[in-house]
Amino acid sequence: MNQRDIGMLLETELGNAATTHGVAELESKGIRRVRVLNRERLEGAARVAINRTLRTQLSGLDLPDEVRSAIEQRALAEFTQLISDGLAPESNASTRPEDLHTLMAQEQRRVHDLVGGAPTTPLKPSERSDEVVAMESRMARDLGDLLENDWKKELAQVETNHRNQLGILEQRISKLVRALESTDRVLEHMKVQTPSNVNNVDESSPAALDPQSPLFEKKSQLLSALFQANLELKELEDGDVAG
Amino acid sequence: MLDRDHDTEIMDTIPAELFDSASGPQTGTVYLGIDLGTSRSAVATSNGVREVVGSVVGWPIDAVAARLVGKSVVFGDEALENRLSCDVIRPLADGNLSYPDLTGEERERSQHAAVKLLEEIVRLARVRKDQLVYAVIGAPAEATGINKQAILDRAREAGIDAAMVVSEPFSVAYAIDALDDAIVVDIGAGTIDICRLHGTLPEVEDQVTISKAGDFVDQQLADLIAKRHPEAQFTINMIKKAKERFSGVVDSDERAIVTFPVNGKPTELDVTDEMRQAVGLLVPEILEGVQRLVSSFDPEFQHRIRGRVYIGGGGSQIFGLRRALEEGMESIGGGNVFLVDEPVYAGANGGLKLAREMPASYWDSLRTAGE
Repeated sequence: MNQRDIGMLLETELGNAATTHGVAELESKGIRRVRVLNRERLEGAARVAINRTLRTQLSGLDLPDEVRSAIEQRALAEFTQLISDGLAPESNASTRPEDLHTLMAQEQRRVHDLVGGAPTTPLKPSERSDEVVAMESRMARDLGDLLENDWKKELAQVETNHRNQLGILEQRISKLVRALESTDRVLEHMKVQTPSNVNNVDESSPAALDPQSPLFEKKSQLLSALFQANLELKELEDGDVAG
Repeated sequence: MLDRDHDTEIMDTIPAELFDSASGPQTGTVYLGIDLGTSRSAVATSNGVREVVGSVVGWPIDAVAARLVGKSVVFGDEALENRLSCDVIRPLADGNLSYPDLTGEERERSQHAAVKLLEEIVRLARVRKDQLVYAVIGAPAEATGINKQAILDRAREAGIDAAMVVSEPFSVAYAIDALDDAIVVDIGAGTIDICRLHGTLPEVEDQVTISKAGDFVDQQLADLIAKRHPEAQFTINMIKKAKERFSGVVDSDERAIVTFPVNGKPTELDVTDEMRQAVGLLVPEILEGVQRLVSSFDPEFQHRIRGRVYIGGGGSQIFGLRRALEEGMESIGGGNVFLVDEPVYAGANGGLKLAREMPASYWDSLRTAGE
C-alpha cells in the first residue's frame, strides 16, 4: 500500500465519520466562519506522529542511520498494512460508522492484548478521531519495541560471530608464532651441525665470507685466531668460576 | 567466513611488532659491533641500527630527583644534564672497564654501571626479545686478560648471548680491509690505540696504547684556560664541548670564542691559543707510537706500513691533525696518513663486519660453552 492509498483510506474514514451540514443550517445556528483541515494535512500529521514516536522509542539505541531509517520505513509499512487490514478499501464503501467503530475497538483490544495490557472500552463515535490517533501511536510504539528486540538479537548474533572468528584468528596467530620459534631453533641447531665454510648460505649472516674473495684465506685465518683467543678467555673465565 | 586456506589473511592480521625491529631482513640472530669507549660508545647492528651514547650512567639520588628526572636510570648527555640530581658514574677509564681496579662499594657501583651501559647499547640496537644477540666488542689494544674478561662477563649479564673482544684498532682495520702492511691509529677519549697490521691477528708487540688522549687534552685545555682566565668558571664537561666545537681551529684562522660565566655573568673568552696548544699535544704522542711500531718492523717492509697510516675514532676529526701527522712523519722517513670514513663508527663498523663474517659455528660454540 502506497502513500496515496493511505490518504484515500484516511479520507474514506473521515468521510464516514463526518456529518453534513448545509450553509443555511450553519447560518441559522449563528455560525459564520468554518475552519477547513484538508486531507493532506491530516495525512501528514499522522506520518509525523509515527515518526516522532519511533524516534522517541529508538533514541536510547545506538543504531546506525540506515538501520534507524529502515525501522521507520518498516513501521510505516506496518502501519499502512494495519490500516489496510482494519479498513479494507473494498469493505469501507459499505461499512457503516458503527461497523468501523467495532473494527477499531477490536484492533485496539488486539494490540493491548499483544502488549499484555487490560482490554479497553470500545470507542465512542465522538471520541474516535483522538482514539485512532492514540491507537496509531501505541501501535507504532509496539512495533518499535518489536523491531528493537529483533535488531538487538540480530546485532548480538553478529557480535558473537565476530568474536568467534577473532578467537580462531588468535589461535592461529599463536600457532604461527610457535611455529616460527621452532623454525628458529631448528635453524640454530642446523648451524651447529653445518661446517663453517658453508656459513655463507646462512641467511642470518648475509655478509658471510665470500670464498671467491682474495681476502678469504687471510680473513678465515684471522677470524679463526680471534675465535680461539676468545675461546681461551672464556675457558679461563669458566675455570675461574669453577675454581 | 574463515577456513584453513586463509593463512595469508591471518598473516596480515599478525601484529607488525612480531616481525619488525628495524630495517633489513628479519632473522633469529642480530649481530652487533660495539665500540665501548671511555667517553662515548657506538654500536652498529646487522638490522641497520647505528647509535652513539655517552659512556655515562646516572641514577637519581633520591625520590625527588627520580621524579624530576623521570627515569630510574639515565645515560650519556641526559645523565650529564641531570648530574646535580643524579649519582653519575663513568664505567670506563682509559678505555677499560674501571671496576676491576676498584674495591668495595665503588667497585660494585662501577660494575653495575657497566652492565647498565651495555644493556642500554642493546636497547638502542632495537633487538627483539626472541633474537639471539652476538657481539664483537672493541677493547684497547693493550687491554689485559682481566680487562677483556670483565667485558665478556658484563656483556653476558646485559643479555648478549655470545661476545668476542677484539683490539679496537684491529676492528677499525678490519672495517676498511687494511689487514696487511698498514698502521691504524684509533683516537678515543681515554686512549690512543695504534696497531700494526701484517696479515695476522695483532700481538702485544704490534700494538701501542697511549693514555694521553681526548680526556688528557680536555684537562690540558682546562688548565691553560684557568691559567689565562682565572676568573672564568667552567667544568670539564664545558671544556669537552668547547673542544668538540672548536678543535677544527688547530689549523685554521677561525677564532675559538667560548662563553663561560665570570662572577656569574656570561662572558665571551677567546681560547684559540689554548685550544691549539692542547690539541697539538696529541701529535708528538701519536708520532712516537707510530715510530715505535715502524722501527720494530721488518726493515725491508717499513716503507710499506709508513705509506698506509689510517686514523679513526672521534678524536681523528680534529681538523689539521692528518696533515700535522703527515708532516711529523717526515722526521721518520715520510709516509701517508688517511682519515677513515665515519671515524666515530669505524670501530663499531669493524666489529659488526667481524661478527657477521664470523662462522656461525664459532658463535654457537661460544654461546653454548658456558651452558
